[in-house]
Amino acid sequence: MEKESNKLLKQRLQRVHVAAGISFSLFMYIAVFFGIFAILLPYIQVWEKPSRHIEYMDVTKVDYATMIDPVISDPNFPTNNIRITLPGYQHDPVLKVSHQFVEPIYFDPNTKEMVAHEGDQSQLAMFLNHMHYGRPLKTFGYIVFGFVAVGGLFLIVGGLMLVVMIKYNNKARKPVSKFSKLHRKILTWVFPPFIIITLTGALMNIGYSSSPIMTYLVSKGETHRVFDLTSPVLFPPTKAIEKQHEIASMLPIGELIQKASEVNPEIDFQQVTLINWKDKSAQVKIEGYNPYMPFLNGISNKPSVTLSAVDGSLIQQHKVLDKHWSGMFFDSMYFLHFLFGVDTFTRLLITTIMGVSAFGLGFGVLLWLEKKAKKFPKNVPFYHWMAKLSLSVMIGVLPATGLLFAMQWSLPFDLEDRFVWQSGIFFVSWLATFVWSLYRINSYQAAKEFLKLAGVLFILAPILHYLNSDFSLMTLWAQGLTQIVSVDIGLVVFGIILLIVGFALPYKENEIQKFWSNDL
Amino acid sequence: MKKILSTLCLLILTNLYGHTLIMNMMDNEDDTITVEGMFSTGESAVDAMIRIEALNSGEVLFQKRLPDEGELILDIPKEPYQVVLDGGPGHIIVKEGIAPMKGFASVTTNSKPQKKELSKTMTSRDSWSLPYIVLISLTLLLVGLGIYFSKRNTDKILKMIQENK
Repeated sequence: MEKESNKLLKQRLQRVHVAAGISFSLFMYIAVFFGIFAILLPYIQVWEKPSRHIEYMDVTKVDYATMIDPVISDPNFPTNNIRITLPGYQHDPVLKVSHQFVEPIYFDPNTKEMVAHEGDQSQLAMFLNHMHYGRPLKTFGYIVFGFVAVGGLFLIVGGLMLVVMIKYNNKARKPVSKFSKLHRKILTWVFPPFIIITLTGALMNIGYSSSPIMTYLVSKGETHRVFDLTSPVLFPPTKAIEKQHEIASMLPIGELIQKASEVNPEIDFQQVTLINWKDKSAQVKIEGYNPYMPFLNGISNKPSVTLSAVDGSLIQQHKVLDKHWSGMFFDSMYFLHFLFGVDTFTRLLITTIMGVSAFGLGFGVLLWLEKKAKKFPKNVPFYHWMAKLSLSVMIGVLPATGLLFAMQWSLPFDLEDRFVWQSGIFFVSWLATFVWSLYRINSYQAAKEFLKLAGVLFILAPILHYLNSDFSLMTLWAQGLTQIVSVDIGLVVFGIILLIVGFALPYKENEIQKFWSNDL
Repeated sequence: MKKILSTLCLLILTNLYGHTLIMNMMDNEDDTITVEGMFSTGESAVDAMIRIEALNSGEVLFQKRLPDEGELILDIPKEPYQVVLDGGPGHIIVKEGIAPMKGFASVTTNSKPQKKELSKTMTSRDSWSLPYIVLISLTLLLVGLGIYFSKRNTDKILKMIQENK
């Protein structure tokens, strides 16, 4: 009896895993694929903009007054809570002067001149990030991707249970067994980071929007808005400092940053808030990130040093561990998703893990399709809508994304509606890959064509970058803009890999069987 | 199922509120108006710009950032006007101005051609501009081609299956 019930459980678990898996897999793949670009967002957003092709500067050596004073002296510019984002924040080399109610102004700290910020005309990195969590579809996209993340959690847990409960044969050499083995092995190895990223993703996409009932219950009917409860703890409002209405001379911002570094040398300072500037009561709140305490700071918990802008005396200091525990918990959850403040090596490591996860998902879909294909006679090609859709979503996205990168440096930056054209052509070309998948009966042939085309487009992107910018590889290297050079090299390497795979992939039935029977 | 879906929709929709700007304008009945700027959360929009623009010429008659009190008392202009709360890019609210107690002094029918462009409430962009027309046309064309290729190849496969039997 117990044996029978155990068998039934395994059977049901497997069936529900297959049903949920095939329903969510394509969305999960999209989230993972664009998530890889989101991890590399800081580098791409510098690569994509001509205005960011400038050298990095030491924040303590920047001549802030020359850049900031003319801006804040404008009588129409707000006088309080002016934010200065220091060069190097999120790998952005410019200095940004902003306020809640005005358009931000950007400066090249080397030349002290205003830079022509591309604004909405250049949004490649942000667009790739938005694709990661369904933002182009707005609320509908958030909800769909949120539920996909929840589905992902269910699949991970269910999949692990299946791996433990069922003895799989890992030695069979048929494609079905190979796909099953690769799907299981890959996702068993990558599940710890994958489950964390999925969990936090679900929280961000639907956690808040589905919280009103719980918030209403917890607050005993006071509010249904979760932020009414969390904001006072996570982002406590700062008390307004009364002006003394006496004009005073301010210490140079560079000197104030230097003083703040002496107060807390562990902080990498990122932003400065000017309060009551030029008044005798003026203060600067200099905040940043403490890399010695990763996980615990960076989002809601920002260690800061508040100094008097008149004499540089310490007014207040906020250390990482001063925050309420819930703030540190909140930051640690977000840290695991945003990889806030982590170095390039860690980003590349997570990129690799996510790339491998994408393969794991792909093998899951191939397994499902291979089982479906078995129902057809051997000499009849397998022509199934899900196979074509999967091909377009999983492989067709490569040439579409390659085109997106190539367009970044081929469309003029002053083109009206530039971003609409760029993102629109991306979607249309992605749709075109679906049409091409339907046109080609042999999916492997279409996959080979997509891979080769994607390879060419990814290699073309850096070439167009050099042709249409005033920079060559040598000038970028000579000026120390290694971050931009790295993106170019990364695109070329990725393109070459796609070309190699495109040429190596078989497309004749007997070759396909042989290919998947080999040891991978 | 319907109940579950409608509950879910309700759950999500009740929480869809933004940190949006709101402008309130009150007639003080002494030829002045009080303009108040705030966020939907109740927080005051201190430092947001308030502008009064003449409807006939587009000229800016008055502009000042909201003080710490979050509101301004302004004299009503003698000509038709609009009040603008400028909260930076993408956050502009425009309301037609309240007339003074005795009405606007001279509402000329042959008004001068507008020299300056009036501020407009930030809304979604014109969705029928050139790129949208081109891209939507291409999408429709591709959908049509997709249906055609799908049918053509499915017929081929069905024929092969029948021949196989």
